[in-house]
Amino acid sequence: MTDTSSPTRLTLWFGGGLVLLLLTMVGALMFGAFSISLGDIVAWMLGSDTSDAAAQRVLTSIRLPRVLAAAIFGAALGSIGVVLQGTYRSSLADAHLLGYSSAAGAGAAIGFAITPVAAFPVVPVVFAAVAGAVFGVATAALRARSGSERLILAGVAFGLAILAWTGLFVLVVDSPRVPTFMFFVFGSLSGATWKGLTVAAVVVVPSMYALWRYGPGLDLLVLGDSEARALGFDTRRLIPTVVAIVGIVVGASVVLGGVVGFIGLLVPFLLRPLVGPRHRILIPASAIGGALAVVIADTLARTVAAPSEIPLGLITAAVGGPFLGWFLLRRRPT
Amino acid sequence: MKLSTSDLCYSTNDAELVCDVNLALEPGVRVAVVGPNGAGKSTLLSLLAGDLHSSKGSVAYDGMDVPMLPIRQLARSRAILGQRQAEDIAFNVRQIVEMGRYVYRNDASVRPGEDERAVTSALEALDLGPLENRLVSSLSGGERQRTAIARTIAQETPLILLDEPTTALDIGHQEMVLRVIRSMGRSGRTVVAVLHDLNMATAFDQVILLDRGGMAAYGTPEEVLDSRGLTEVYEHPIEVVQHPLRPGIFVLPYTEE
Repeated sequence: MTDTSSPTRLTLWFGGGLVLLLLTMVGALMFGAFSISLGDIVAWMLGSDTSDAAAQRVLTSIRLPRVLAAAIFGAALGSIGVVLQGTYRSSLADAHLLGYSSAAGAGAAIGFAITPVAAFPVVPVVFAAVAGAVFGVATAALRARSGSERLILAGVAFGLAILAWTGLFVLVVDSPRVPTFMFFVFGSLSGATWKGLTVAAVVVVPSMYALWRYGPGLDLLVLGDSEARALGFDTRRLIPTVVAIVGIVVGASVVLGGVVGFIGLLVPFLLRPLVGPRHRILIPASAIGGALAVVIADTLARTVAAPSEIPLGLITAAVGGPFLGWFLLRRRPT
Repeated sequence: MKLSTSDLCYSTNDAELVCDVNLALEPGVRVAVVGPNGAGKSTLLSLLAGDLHSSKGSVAYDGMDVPMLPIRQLARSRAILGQRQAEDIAFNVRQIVEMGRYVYRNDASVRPGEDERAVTSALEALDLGPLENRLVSSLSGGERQRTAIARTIAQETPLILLDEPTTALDIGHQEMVLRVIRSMGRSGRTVVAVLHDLNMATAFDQVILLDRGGMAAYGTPEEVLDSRGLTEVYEHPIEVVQHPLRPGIFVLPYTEE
């Protein structure tokens, strides 16, 4: 059996992953309804003026915030997938399936309804984060009583119900301030702005660091709750904390890119055999993997049918769904 | 560390699972808990660990009431080996044993290299060195059991509670675990082990014979393991004889035909 814990091997994976992510992001900056040459991007990165003023405007005010938003959004989805799978001890646990995303989406919809269009989306992020955190804590309290599989099915049911109510709300309010219902079903980064990116990043980055800090404790959960407690991890106090932080991250990312599935399931699934099961490694690895996946998916979303856009979640579901089904059918221990 | 209980009881709505257990265990003593299925052995172990809270009476470590101790302090006071070990785990053997050191993370009083030393010595004690990079999911039941025992030892607590530590093991490895338990005792660590094999209990300092939650007998193996008492509690003919090859007793269940 290959030893996935060797430091050299891990350094290579992380180094390679980061380089690949950066190259993909540069590629993503080039493609779109309006093409930007590599020379212009390199010139802009070096601080000099690009040959084309329009290219520079598209790059700095549209393309760059969008690509960065895709990276942060993907990093959030990938890493919370890992954390939820550790917490619920199931490789099928995911913010989308467990209903966190729908709950946060409902909070975001209400928040958007009372926030002016061009403002910093602080209120939607707060509403979505609170909704996500409350949903997480409330459902995680039932975790010990019902098995993970049942909890996931219940999450799907709750999620669909909340999504339906969100749909009703969006239709009834019918406000230009609230994104379309499609945003809450399939997500999109087409509305990414520097303001939205800033608010989301301020919430997501420290929260992801906090989750990473819980890594060694989450490792213990594979042994079972009572064993983890016996080893000194206070599950009764820390699991609610962890799922609340997850809810907050889901909230901020939903405001940024809507509800997008499969990233949190698929990325950890692919990475576990490569970097091993330890959360301190798997959380950052899945952040990089998630960022890479969403940057690619979003580039496809805005180029495949340009000038119209395909919802991001359609791409992740179209590609991720079959992949995930295949992996589940030949799944190995997690 | 001194482990004491006074009038310890645990009952659910319809049954009293443990009743009136009084113990005062000095550091370094090795105690075997025996008794038929459903006698309350595992429940007693969980009460001693602070996993279950007594419905009457108390458990104390060095005079401190166990339910009042914070989880981290508990994890530095006692290690527990549960009856069942998770199988479907993608961690390797060494990583599982390292989990025993979780409670010492970010502790300035733990010398550098201390965790590494504790893990390596636990792996060696259980003959797991050659398996340290193997995934737990690829191990046999006995190898998984030894991995879990190594994790319990690596926790380096003054009290070690083992629920059926030798059940999945072959004779050679059963003896190995007994040797490890003996050396724990010599280094002043208290060991309480639930056992099914009554002959294994003869290797301990003290034996508690449980019957329907109560202490049917408590004392040295020679005092507790006697033919009449065992036959009564197990409701099966059991003869205790002198061991043919070494000093001490030998427990011999038999069938009358």
